[in-house]
Amino acid sequence: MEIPVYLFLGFLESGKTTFIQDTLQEEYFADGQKTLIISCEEGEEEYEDELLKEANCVLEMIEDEEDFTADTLKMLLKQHTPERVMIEYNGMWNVADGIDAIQDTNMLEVYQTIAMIDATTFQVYMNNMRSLGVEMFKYSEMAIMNRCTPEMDLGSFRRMIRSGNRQLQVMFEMAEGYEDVSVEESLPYDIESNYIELEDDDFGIWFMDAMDHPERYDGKEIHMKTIVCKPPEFPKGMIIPGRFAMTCCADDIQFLGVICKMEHVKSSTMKAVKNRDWIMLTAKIACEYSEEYEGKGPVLYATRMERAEKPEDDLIYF
Amino acid sequence: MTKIDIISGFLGAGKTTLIKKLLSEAFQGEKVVLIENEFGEIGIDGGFLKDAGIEITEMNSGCICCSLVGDFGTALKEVIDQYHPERIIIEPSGVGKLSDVIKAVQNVQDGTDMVLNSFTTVADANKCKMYMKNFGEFYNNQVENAGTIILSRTADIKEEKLEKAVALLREKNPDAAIITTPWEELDGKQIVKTMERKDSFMQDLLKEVEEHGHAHHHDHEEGCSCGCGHDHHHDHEEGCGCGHDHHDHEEGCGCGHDHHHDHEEGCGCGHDHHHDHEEGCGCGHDHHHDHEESCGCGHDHHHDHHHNHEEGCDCGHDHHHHHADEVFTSWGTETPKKFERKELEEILNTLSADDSYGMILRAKGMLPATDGGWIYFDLVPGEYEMREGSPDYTGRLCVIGSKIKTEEIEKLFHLH
Repeated sequence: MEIPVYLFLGFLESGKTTFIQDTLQEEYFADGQKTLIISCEEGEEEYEDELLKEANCVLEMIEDEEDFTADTLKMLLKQHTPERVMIEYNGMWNVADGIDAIQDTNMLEVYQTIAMIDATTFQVYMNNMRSLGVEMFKYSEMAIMNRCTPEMDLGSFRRMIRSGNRQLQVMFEMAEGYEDVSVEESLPYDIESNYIELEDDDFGIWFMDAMDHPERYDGKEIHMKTIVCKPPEFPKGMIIPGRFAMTCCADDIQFLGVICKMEHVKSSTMKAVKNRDWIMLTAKIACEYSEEYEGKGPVLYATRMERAEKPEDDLIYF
Repeated sequence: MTKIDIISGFLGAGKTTLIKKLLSEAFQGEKVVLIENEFGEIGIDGGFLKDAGIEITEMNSGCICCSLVGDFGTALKEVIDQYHPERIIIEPSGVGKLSDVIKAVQNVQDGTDMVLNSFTTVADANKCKMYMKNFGEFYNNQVENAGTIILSRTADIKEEKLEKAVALLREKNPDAAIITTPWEELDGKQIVKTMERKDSFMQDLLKEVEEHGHAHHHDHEEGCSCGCGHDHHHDHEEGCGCGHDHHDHEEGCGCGHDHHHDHEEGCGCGHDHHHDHEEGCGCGHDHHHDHEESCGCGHDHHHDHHHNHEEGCDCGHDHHHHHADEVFTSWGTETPKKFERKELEEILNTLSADDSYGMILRAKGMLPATDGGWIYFDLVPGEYEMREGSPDYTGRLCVIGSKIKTEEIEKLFHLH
């Protein structure tokens, strides 16, 4: 049987050690199982020997990225025979390689991957080390952002974190002395209105919110500039309008699009719209089941389509 | 001429604060262009910079997964052509390698009138140990390649932690000047002087000693044995003062040696030292002394300013000057350590009176005091003087003498 691994990602000083120590003391976790903690980073916080002993933990360090291999892990497993493993991964190391090493042991299975984020350095780290951040979030199921304060735009932080992984659940922990705040997405348009005029730069925000909460948009009308994706194998009368988004850098551009049905537009218009055309689209939004979404999602019904100029910046960012 | 100053450092190290300080205290009135990496921490629309008349341009340094973009050189040339600035400050990406930026500047340098004036790394004193340990390559690259390391947030740090941080940085970079004094206590101009490595504390002291400290009595009246037939007119007007005689052989002495003395750099010893500082050791001394052949005049012109970096005091500046005719050594060190006034007084007392530390001709220092002030001291055999001084970039002391026992002295100053 494979030994469960809890993998903790996050930049230096994001609170990984503190979170791991807190978890060890949680009732649901403190069941006496022997835990091997593998730490790949030596931050400000140090593990308390007493606490480790009490929680039946052993601590091992892996200091170099080259040493984080299946062989090293197997050796540690053999040496300590733990019932579960917690790995505090180094924020500068390649996450995919780390997960490969874990899997290559054939003895370990990743149960949960958690990304820790320090809200106070999030923006500047993301600006400068976006690729590392995006990779962390891509492999995580849960992200915990700590040291939050009320004046931070947590809604936009959440959007940035989830831009490359919409399954990711984001939790916020306020800095000491602050009450919890409910993090509402601050949307650049009026969600109460039945008509949404979307600015060119705001497509990403609308897309994320509509994918998360399609019911909010049910019955509303939207007017926006999009690029058309119309693969030849696609059923007639259906297109995918959307935008190209850059989550990391120029090497990492993805297309974000929604399903759009054209049964309400003239067939001549329908034929005129080609793949990669820029259009001004007016459409009704319905919250419907769709195979492509594997569930409910925002399905557009086009009412008007006009050829449009490419926007100043053809990419969107988070 | 356009001076290029590169100021690197990890995110949050304090590059922005430093640049602002330098702009307002040291570069006032200069035509400055600031080249920022794409995601720099200075708010581009910051009124401060605009008011100061500083041009800001952006440099696309890419993210950590893309390498330094190749057109950096072109961008740099464009900036020079467009603005003709006196100075360009480059703030590269906090996660970039300093060596890449230095290389990029050097690649454009040829054929232009720009000079790589300084390359500095700002490091948070509280965090540099942790960053060095966990970040690896790019962080260490910034430390290793810096001409000067400026520590930030040293005001509230514990002294041992600061000393440890300095020792760790020294391991990676033995030659850089390390600024450990809190920035508020320093003037921007002082910082720039340190960044430019124009400080000549040790050389000045050496010169002083050579002028006054030990006269080399040479008696030429009886005629020297060099046989060149010329009167050895000693021309010390330029203030060489080293006490050695320099033969003015302009008319051709025929001894076959080149006695041309070049005093431009003012080392003070009066000899022509081939200066070869390409790698920017910056200790201010020259490391190529080739005076081995004797001119035969009977005087010893052999000066071996051998710098011994092998014994490795923690300052990394191990300055041993051996003069073969009267072997004397200069030794200096840098330390952020704070001294009690009383304690220092006792140390100086011992050093000036006790010959178990060698024949000490002269010692001088500026050291931070535990009470927040700075103590400057001067020492000659049997005497010393302590006075209040203004803050220096870090605590420094220099000892000159013969057969001085550097290890003992370090111990005396509690530097180990």
